[in-house]
Amino acid sequence: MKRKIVFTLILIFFLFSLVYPVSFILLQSFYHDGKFTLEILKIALTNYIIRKSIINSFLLGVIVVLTTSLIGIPLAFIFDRFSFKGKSILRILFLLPMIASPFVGSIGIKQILSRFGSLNILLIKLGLVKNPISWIGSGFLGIVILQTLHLYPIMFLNISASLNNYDISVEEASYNLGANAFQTFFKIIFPLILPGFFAASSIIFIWAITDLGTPLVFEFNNLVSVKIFYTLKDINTNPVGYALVFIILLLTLILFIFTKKYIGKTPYTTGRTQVQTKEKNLQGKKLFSLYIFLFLILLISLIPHFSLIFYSFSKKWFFSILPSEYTNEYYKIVFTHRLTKTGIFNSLIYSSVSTVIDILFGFLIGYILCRWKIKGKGLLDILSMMPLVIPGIVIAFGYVTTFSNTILDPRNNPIFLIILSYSLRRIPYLVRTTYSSFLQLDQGLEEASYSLGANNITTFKRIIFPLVSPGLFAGAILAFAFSLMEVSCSLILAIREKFYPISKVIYTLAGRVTDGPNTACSLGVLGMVITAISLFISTKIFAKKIGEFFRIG
Amino acid sequence: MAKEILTVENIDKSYNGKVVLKNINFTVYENDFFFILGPSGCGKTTLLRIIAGFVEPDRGRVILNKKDITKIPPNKRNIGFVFQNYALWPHMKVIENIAYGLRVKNYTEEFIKKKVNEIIKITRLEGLENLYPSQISGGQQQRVALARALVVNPQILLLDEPLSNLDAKLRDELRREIKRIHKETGITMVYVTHDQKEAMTLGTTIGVMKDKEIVQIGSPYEIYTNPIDIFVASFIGEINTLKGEIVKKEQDIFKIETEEGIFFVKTKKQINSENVYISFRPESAINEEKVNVIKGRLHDYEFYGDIVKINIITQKGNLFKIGIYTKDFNKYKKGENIVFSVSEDRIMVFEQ
Repeated sequence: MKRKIVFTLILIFFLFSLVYPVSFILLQSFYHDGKFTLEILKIALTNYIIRKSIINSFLLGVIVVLTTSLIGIPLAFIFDRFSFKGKSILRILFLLPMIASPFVGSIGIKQILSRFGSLNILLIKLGLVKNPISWIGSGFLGIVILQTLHLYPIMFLNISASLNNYDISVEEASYNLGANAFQTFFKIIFPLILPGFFAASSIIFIWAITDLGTPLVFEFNNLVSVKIFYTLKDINTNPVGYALVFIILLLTLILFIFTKKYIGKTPYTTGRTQVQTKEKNLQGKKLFSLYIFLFLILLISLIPHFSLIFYSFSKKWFFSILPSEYTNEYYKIVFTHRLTKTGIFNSLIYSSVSTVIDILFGFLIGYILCRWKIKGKGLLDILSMMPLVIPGIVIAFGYVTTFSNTILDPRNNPIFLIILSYSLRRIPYLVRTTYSSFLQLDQGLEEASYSLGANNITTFKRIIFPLVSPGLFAGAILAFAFSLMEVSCSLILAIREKFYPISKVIYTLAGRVTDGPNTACSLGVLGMVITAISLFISTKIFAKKIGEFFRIG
Repeated sequence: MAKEILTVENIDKSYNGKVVLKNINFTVYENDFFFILGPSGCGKTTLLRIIAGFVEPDRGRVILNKKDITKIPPNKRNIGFVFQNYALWPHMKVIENIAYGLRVKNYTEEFIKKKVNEIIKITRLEGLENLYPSQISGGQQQRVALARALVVNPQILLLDEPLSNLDAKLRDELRREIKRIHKETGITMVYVTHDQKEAMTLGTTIGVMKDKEIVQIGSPYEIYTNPIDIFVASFIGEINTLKGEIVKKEQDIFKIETEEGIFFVKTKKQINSENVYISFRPESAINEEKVNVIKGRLHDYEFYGDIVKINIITQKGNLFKIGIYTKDFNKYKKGENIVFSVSEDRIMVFEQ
């Protein structure tokens, strides 16, 4: 009985925060004047600008999947096959690109790639070019670069996990039967890493096409995400936004179901009873070129971060490769300026409250999924993983449209909806961490407590909680850090200045001409540092398993 | 008659339509060391978990000291449980693991200290009190698991394959330990295992399980010498088996025709079919040519130390295992023809 109440409460949470807004969008895309109609979809698809945006977004997604694969897959193989000094540190360093959202990074990198930015100055000084090259162009290339540098770790982590899942003996068996390296790769290794590749590709694709912050900074407007952002302003007269969100939702669901089914059907794990080491020791020239390769990738992927840091300290940075004068005054401004102070304060409140909600729900759901036998568990499993798949922009759009002109209207006071969106979007982290902690937690440990006369509460307090809390803690830190720097919901839901969270403050400041961008960068660096520390702590607790946060299925 | 401690009545259990236990009935008496013996997957662990209260049966009752406990939650049953993988709490020291059961019952610290010290002595864990489970060996972990279950004075102790994770030598050692602890504490135990040697050496009573059901309950001697069917006979010890047909029955002597000739079997057992199996244990054959003769060539042998089991292949190609003492082994040579016979009361008959 008690179980049913808890279960129902959790379902109500998801119904309210996820199912209802999403259904509302679907309804609005197909119902007009009380009738089912494809009119809105038709308008969206026949409008030249909208069609161009859809094609652009699709192209962006495909290109970023390709570019991240080009970096991520070789990297995963290097880490899987070779042993070299500093490997474990490098493994963590390659997660660093994820600590700053490309939106923040793009503010810094504009300084590098702009017409008279560092790169062109450097090339001119070296005499390689005469006239500055337009690197960013329309902005599309800039978006591709930023997203690639931000997202390739997801490919790296997923492929690494796939490689980790099977024993080297399956390859040896292939060689033993006379296959060469080429055959072994295409017949054995490739099929084995395919599920991981699909999982990563889906996440990266969806991420790339729904990223709102980066195109906004590069002022590249012909993308679905940007169109959605702008249609929200006149959504009551222009329903095209619904159709665009519907298209994204549809794409997301197709990819999600495909990945889930595909991965579900191919349980490609060989029991790693005897883990043979497949790592080769490298020496001499080979080792040297390996290091060069790794450091080059690392250096390039950290350019946005470095440029952000330089920009935040720069007093003067015109027509020079690096700033000509430095100052720390922008960091002082961060803590004194009215807008930044509000942003930091708001974000801390929003993130803490939503993290507490996440801990509560994440723990409960993780426990239920692992231990209870209850009807509807499959549904709960899907619901709790959906936020990982459904883009923030969809959720934010859904909240604005669903709750406009109600007591929750974000135009009046978005606090409730921002917290709801933050907690909803990070719930999967907590569910995953607690679920995997519970999986590792032998049920006998609880039963032993019961058999010795302890009741539910004592067993929870003395046995379950102490054993699961490291996982819970790791998940909570990540959830907090990611909420702190959340972009799409923050940009869309915080409409009035006094409710702005950090991301919206950065976006606003970046648009101000004089000192704005520098302060925005300082705030961005601050967020980056917090995220890095959180990621580091979580990685310590969760060791290699950090990759589980960035996988579906 | 000894006092009844535990009675299991008409227990059925299925998971998602798949039957795992069918009509289980047995009684465990005070001071008994009751074994549930069966191959893996026969449902024995589920049965133990039903007794402990971790699993609810679909039908039937569990009675502990004349009280129906079927619906009582596990923490109110006062039944000790030793888990196959010990289930020691990794975040608590040895002494905290052991004291836990007393702590949750709110005993005074003084009492807890006394009881814990007592049990530490009995289980010989002195000196390990302040270590964590990960810092002690598998055998020591097993002792902690035993101590933790015993310290609360349970009415009965359930053990789920407690020795299966240990190597052979430790297993022997702990088997003796458990026997000693059983003697010293006098606690009634129910022990689940697939290892017939464990059951035979430790048990006072054995319930043999086959495929969701208990097929025979009895003392180790009864079960070894008078198994109810060919499964029990072959699961407990080794047997030689031949197919046969009853051609005549006079009083309790059966005349049975087999591939290897006529066999005479003396048994009071009721046999309702003409087609039967006849079986005998390796040690039942003697090196003489009397009735029920087996002739063949010594093909191979297995050396066990105290005894040797020799394999004989007959002209028809049947293989028999005959157990002899090692001191008599030098009489035989590989490849030689030899003759054995089995007396008519040492042959068992089972319906086909």
